[in-house]
Amino acid sequence: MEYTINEAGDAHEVMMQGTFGFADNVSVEQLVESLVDKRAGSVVLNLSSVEKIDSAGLGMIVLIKDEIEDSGGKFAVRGASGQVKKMLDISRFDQLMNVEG
Amino acid sequence: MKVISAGLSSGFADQLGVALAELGGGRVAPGVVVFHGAPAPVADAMADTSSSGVIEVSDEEDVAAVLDEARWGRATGAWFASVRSASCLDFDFPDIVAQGALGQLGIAEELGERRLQDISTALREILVNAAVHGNMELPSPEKTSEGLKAFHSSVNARASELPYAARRVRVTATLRPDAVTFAVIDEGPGYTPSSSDKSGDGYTGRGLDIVRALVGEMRVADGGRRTELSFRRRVEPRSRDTSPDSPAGDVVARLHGSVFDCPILIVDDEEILVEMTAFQLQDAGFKRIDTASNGSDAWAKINADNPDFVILDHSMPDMTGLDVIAKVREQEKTRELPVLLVSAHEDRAFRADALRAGATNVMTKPVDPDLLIHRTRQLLEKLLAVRQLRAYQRRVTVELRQAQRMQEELMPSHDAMAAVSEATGIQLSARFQMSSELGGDWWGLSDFGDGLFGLYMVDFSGHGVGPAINTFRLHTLMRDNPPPLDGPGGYLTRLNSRICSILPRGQYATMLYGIFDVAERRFTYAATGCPPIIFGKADGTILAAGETSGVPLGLSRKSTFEDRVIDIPEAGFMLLYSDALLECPSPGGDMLGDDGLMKLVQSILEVPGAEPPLDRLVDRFMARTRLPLDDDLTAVWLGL
Repeated sequence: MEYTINEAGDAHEVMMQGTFGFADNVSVEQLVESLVDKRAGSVVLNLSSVEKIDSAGLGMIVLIKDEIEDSGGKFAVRGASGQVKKMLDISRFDQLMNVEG
Repeated sequence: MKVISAGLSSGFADQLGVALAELGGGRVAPGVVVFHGAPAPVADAMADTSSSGVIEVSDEEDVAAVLDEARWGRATGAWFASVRSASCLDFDFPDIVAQGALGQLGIAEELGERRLQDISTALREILVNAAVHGNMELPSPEKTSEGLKAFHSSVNARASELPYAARRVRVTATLRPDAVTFAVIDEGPGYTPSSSDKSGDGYTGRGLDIVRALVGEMRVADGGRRTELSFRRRVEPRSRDTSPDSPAGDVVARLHGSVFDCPILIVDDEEILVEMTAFQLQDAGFKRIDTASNGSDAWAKINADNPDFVILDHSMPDMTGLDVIAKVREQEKTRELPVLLVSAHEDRAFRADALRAGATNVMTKPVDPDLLIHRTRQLLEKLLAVRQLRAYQRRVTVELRQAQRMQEELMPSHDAMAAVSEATGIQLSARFQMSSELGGDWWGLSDFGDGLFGLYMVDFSGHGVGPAINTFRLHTLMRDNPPPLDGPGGYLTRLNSRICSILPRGQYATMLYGIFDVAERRFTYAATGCPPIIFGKADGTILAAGETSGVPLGLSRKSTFEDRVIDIPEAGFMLLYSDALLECPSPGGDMLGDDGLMKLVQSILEVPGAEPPLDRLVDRFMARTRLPLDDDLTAVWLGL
């Protein structure tokens, strides 16, 4: 998985790309660190370019959300489609966090 | 397909390539790579091929084993892939496995893109668990919170060491009529988590819940080293078949398949109607559809392609639908082919004529698509059911015939009877009539020489296959404990104690064993509840019954049997028989009984005939009895 961060004031949109799974531990830790450092007021994970995700990837989304909310920010995911959307649906992510279309 | 031959002798690598190509019939899934297990070439190979779908092979023996397994897999409709554990983490791998397997099994189209994705997603979860710790029942850590980091690093440490690092993980796919089952098998030593591994929040991952949501059924075995994921196929429950093993052959294979696999021929001279009908059926799931645009084309295709069902238009220029039906019904191999006639005629008279001429069903144009699909399914389901029953019947008939011959071989042959007759001067004749293919009756002779021979007759309770098996059991027992020259009571006592330990509870046998001394005209015998022996003078002037009461064999270990003696008069006879002779009823329900049989014997003997007395007796009995017989009949006649 690769990502870029688009900043507009204290709103941050994280554009994620590729596959998001077990092997992405390290890059997620880096991502969380940089978002917390920036004191991001709101973070949206844009998943529209993520082709596939596994349960570890889902777990890391929850981790990012927890870290952002612990540091006082707002969190949402956006743009999931195909396999990624199905995984979010099965795991009822709409009940855990703000899931935008 | 790419075969990497690093570390293999080049001749062997070629062989392997040929074998794999053969194996897939040229359809080996793309990306399957074979390489030798030496570390450097493996690393190169992984870099070179982006490590997708790897069959790991460590030596030539291993290759042979892998290929054997693969051949086996193909024969039974399974497909397999095998990877080094680390490459389980590759996101592409489950895609390749799922695509490869479904392609090989020929159901990729049937399941469609979405199911393929579900299979891939579920396999991914299981493969990650396998790769991470080798216990697929245990979720992988999801979150990198503190407690889990310890688990993570212990997993990493293990994963970098043999044998964890170099485990082989196999994926097999097996096709069943109602489902395709993927098995993920970790060939490593497995992993039992320690309590410290379980601590920390977020440990209970959601991976397995996701898998359960995607698959029809999930089973885990071998302490998490084997997981089976079954994905249901779109098959109507009624055409489902539960037996996975079917003999080869296209028609037989179709028996076990679904109506959707049956080839269908659509015939109409109006191209647009053919296309519409074909489209509707395809949309409903029928996969093998062919078309013809006129009667003679249809007739040619019916003969060349053996469709299972024909949808036939009546009004066509060269041959009408009814003309085609007439030809179909005339020919043996197509006589029962279901044909649905479609016609613009609405009148009842035409409908009746068409049905009389052999149309299986008639529908009026314009045809309602839902009704057409419904009829098609109905007729094909019936066809499949009849086929299945016939195949079953054929198999059972052949097997029963074979068993029947085996049982007949237990009885004395004509030659054996003639030999005893010649040696002793006794006229021996026997009749044997089973009530079904197999029976529970049995009789035999053993010639001791010097004018002495042994004779036994057995009747196991019931009739059919079960008692027939018991006759074979007893035959084996008697071969190891041959009938003796004297002491029949002791012999039956010994047989009884042995047979009690062999026979299932509730099964038993009546048996008579005796030794005939020709010079003395004396029959020394013991019996276990048989019908009475009938003996006397051959002219019918003296008739008597020999006592045969006793506890049947197999009921009690403690039974003992005593010797009894019958002295046959000069120019006399003796008749041994099974109780069918007494108990099989006439059409009116009357049984012959002891007295009736005695009278029948007397009437036979009083009026001498050209035929041997036993034949006349049995023929008279059969003439008065309801057929087929209720029980197996055995009768043996000794004439002095």
